Amino acid sequence: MKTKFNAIAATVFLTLLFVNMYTFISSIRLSDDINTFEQQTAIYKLKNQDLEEKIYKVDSLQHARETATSMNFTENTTPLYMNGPNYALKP
Amino acid sequence: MTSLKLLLIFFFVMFITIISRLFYLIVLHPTNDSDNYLKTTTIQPERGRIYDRSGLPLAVNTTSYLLYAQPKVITDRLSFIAKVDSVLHIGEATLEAALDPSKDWIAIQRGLTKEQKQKIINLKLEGTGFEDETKRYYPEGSLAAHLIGFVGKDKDGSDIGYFGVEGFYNRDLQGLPGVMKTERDFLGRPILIGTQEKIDAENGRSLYLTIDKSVQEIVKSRLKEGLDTYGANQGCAIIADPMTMQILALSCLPDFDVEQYYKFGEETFTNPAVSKVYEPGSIFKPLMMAAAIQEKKVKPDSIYDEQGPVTIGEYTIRTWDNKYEGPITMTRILEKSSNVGMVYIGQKLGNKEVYSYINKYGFGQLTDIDLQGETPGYLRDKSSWYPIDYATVTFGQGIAVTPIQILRAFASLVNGGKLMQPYIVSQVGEDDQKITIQPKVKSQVISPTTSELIKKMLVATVENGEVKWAKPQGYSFGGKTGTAQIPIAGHYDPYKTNASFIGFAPADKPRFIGLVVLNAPKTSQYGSETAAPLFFKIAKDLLVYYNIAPQ
Repeated sequence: MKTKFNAIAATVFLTLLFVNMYTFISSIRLSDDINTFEQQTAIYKLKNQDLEEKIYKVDSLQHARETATSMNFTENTTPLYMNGPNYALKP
Repeated sequence: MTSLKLLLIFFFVMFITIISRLFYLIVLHPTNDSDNYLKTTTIQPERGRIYDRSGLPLAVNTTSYLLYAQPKVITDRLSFIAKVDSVLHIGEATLEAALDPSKDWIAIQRGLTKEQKQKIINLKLEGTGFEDETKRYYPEGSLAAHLIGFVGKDKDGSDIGYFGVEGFYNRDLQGLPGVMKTERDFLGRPILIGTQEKIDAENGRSLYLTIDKSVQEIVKSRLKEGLDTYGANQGCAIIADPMTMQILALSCLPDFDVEQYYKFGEETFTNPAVSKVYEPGSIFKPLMMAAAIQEKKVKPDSIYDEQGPVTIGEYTIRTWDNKYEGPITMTRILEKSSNVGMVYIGQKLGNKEVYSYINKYGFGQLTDIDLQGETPGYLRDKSSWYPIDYATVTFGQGIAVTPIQILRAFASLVNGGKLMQPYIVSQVGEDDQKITIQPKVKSQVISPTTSELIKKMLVATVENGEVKWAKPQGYSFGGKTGTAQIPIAGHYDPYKTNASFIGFAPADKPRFIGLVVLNAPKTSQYGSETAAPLFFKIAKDLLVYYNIAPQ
């Protein structure tokens, strides 16, 4: 009886020990994953912000003006209004 | 038996040792060891973004870095200072003073760019580190500086908006910070059986303005040209939709650099369009004329005999050119901007109604525009008005108004008589949490019929005025010039004026109304020769931009 109890107790003890070890290792792995995801999220957030900033910059009137100036397109287009009908009357 | 006793004694000793240690840690030295693992961090919310009416960004967020140092860790201070200064250029003396060796942690500089951060990292300095922060990024630079305002720091070092919509909508924009409590091991990994609590931050609400980025660009660049051409020291141009009083563009120059606002004085931050009062001059005349028509005191074709100067008490009132045409219609009074004619209108209207209509047009009251720093202007109490005040106010002298007040009052003349609340923000927030701001009618000042009559009179004023402007043919404009002397120390400056023009187009169904005010122009003191040509240049561009066909 005593031997049987000792065997059961040892089995339970060992089982609990392995379960505990497994849980501990799993939790460390999970923590590692969480840590990695946190770092990656922060990196992607920064990259996203950088790209967003670049898009906004390229899309801005300020950038268009700077580009136009750098390409010597500095003259404004002068629209023709109807106060100069002589243009239309020319043969 | 002996070995069992020994084992028992061993366990007993171990038990007593553990109990003693716990007693020491918990009772005698109750330091909270979990502090070493438990990290509580504030999750900063993202500040709401600011877009124009088409959803194009005017102010967004970008990452910047705070460079900090740990003076106790730094061994070679001189080398450290020289290296940091070679990248940041903040002065070796400043760095020397900042690096207090008795402190564990000091902030060296905020707002570092990614490139600056990398340069510092490349120096491989001991005792330095970086903290991520956010700062505003303005894709269009200072295109709408006075409208947007800027984000600075409050006394606690937290971000806070100042001036413009940043100041007015600061509570919406800033959001609510979150908190994260997490127990971490020495490698920074979360301890899953420990405390893990997170309350997410609530990001600030984005704002969608009524401003059109392209119209704002047109107005600002034209205003800048105008200031240079006419030698004015300050000027404002405002374009609005008269039917809703949505502000389409607003620019006052000089303004400030939103990226480097700290290099400018406080006087440049205030928006003159809502914060500065001036005497409006003749652009006030149509308001009084409309009041007289509304009260059925005159009709557009009623006749006034303009014989000469008018004397009120000890004061003599003349026309601007001291010329008098004899019998003239009410429309002609506006066309030639007759001061004596307006005194007649004031007398027909009566002092009580003159004062009443000034109030009805909203002068001396806030327009409630959603910009920080609006002033109600200055309207003296009725008891302190003398007969000369009732006379001069009919042609816009002796009353102090803001440009936005005069624009709103004038818009009521052309939109069917409704005094509207001007506004800059059309939508707060996004998606299912958005709040759309609707136009608000404050009161009905004049009837739609009177509005139609005064509109026709204003079209005649532009067509038959004293000056012929280079306005695009095929379009009908209505408007009025204004030239007001600038009061200084109890009298008027004989040389300086506020030159202004307010106009709208197309006259039958106005798409926009615009006000141009130039302070002390040097080429001419008259609004007809400075502000009016500038208005028509802006108007030409707007007609093309809005693709409005000639009538």
